[in-house]
Amino acid sequence: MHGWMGKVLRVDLTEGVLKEERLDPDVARKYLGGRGLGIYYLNKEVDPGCDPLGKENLMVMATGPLTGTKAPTGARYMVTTKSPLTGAITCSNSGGQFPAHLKRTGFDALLIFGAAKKPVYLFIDNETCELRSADHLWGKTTHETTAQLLSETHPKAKVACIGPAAEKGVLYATIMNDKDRAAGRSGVGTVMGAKRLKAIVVRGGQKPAIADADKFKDVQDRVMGQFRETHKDTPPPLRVNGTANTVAIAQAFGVLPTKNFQQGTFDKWENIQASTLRDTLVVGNKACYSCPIGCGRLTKVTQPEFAGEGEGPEYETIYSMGSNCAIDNLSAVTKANYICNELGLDTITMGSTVACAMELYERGYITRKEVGFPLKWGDGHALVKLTKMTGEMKGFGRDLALGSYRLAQKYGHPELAMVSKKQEFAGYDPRAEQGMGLAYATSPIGASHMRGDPAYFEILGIPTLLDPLEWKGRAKWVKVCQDLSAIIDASGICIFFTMRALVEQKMEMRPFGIRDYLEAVTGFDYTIEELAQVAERIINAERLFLVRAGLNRKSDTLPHRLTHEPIPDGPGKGYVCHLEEMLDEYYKEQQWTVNGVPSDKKLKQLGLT
Amino acid sequence: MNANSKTGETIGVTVRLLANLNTYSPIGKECFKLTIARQETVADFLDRFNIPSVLKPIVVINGRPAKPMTRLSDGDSVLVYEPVTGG
Ligand code: SF4
Repeated sequence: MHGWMGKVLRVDLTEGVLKEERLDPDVARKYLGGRGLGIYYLNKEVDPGCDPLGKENLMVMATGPLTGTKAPTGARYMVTTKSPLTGAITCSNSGGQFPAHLKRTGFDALLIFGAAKKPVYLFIDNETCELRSADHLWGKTTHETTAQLLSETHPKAKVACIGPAAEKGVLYATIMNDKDRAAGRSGVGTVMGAKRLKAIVVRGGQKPAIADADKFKDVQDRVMGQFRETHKDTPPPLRVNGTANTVAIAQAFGVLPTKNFQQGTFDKWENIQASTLRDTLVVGNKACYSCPIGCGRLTKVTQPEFAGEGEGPEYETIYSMGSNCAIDNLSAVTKANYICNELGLDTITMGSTVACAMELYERGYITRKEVGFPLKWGDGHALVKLTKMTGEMKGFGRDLALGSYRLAQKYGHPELAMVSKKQEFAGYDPRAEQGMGLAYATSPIGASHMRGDPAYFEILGIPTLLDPLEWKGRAKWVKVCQDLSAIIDASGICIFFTMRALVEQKMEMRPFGIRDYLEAVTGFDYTIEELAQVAERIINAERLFLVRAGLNRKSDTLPHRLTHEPIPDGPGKGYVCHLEEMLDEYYKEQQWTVNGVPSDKKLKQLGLT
Repeated sequence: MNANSKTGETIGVTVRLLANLNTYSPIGKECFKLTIARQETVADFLDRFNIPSVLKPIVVINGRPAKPMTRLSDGDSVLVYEPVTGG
């Protein structure tokens, strides 16, 4: 095969058995890789009703056909499994160097079944695979684990591992690779922890074969030529500002979640925006494998009580731990981010759960007695302390480890949990960004901006800027955006580069550039129509998993606050999110029933029956 | 507001040229105040910064998307940025 390595590794942790399997070329063509292969194997091998933390759950780590090639940002992989946070499927994406090197071992995907009796790690040295004891690593942070594994395997190996948070069962633990890159959402790390798989270490020397090298070079020259032309006088904004660039834009549009979504603007936003980050904490930038942008922030905090060095924060962390907690101290936010990276916690859910606790505290539903100290809006010290307590499962951290849905439920006020399918939102208030509300509610993994991100056309201006307050007709574009994200997630490239450089800059957002790369790399004569089918196949296969796990329209919800309490500030002042109206339109676009179930006709058309 | 705005000839606006666009800031800073002619359109307003058209700058006035023929008003807050991914 070209593009794909043509093999997957089946890992049975219960029995300690490793087995190579051939990747069926027909499956590869129809699902690409990454998220596509993830849902293919989950539907094939897993009972959707299973306990996410039980032996029956499967965790798929899969690269895409463009991962590890020279295609710009061919750096990504996806982790797909059933989530302990949401009870739905989850697929979480990460970049860095690990994914390209995973592919170079000769495997497109790892299928991880069962659970080991004692902690282990998986070492793949080219095609030699073995499970090794991880007793000596259990309890160690992600940074300590990575350093130890590099010293006992090979200094040039790449590591993905979990931290103490996953071992202890925090419901939103991450899998960290290359120290500070995260497959972050919905507890993928928690699943890995329940399997007692501490880490995966890869060392590979095989490059994916390219079907048509001349065609690949032509596409590469065209795409990179355009990129260089656009940025010949000024570097790309993401390199200059990182994703924190979005703070000023979200504030202007009044979608910057503040005080657990009680407001859409933050009066101290200038203290947490990109130029402040740049001028005070950033010491450099960092790029993933084959990336011409380099949006990663290398930072150093000198304020003594928050001192440290590391990567981050990204926009989502600045929102969740900053404005959403009314914290304007970037040093505190950055320190909490470092702790999340080391203990292995999702920064979005961590910050949003603290914000939820702060509102519970403000309203007197929890007190100093439960928390152990006062918990006021804006308290950066409390944020840092609680983040550590959560990762270590100590004191009130045990409650925070449940995420905001279960926390708010426990204290009798579920309405204060800002979640869809029990997962916390990204940094956009959907009352002033209507399409985002629909995307949150219908994302298969619970609230997420990564499984279709309408912020691109509602506030960021890609491919153009639509009125973010309009909901009529929005479902169509949300679906277009979700379909596109399925292709990006399955190809193994990064959405940040792709959205501007490989997608037509019209609302149809047809992925002509991705098609060209896929054709050159795989040799399959993909058309735009075939890719549209691949996207729908992935999304409908995911939806089928959800339906079989008992989720349907009743699960495609937003909290009462966002659908009934008008936003009090910003340009969207007075608006609520018109979810129900958009949902009706959306199911029609998807050809799903009014209850949100894929129709037989659609399933047949996609070969899913 | 500025002295002339009272006479009706000019108005004052606050401008933010985000990220890489601050290269085109007349004072080298991302955020600044500017006095412009009353009734100036967004298209004319943008012209003064010489931002290359290849960057396709977006203009948002008081948090609402603006069109090239939108006219600026006294006290407007204007955000200008290159269409940008990320979040
Ligand atoms: S744009 Fe950023 S996240 Fe995407 S591949 Fe490049 S460095 Fe990684």
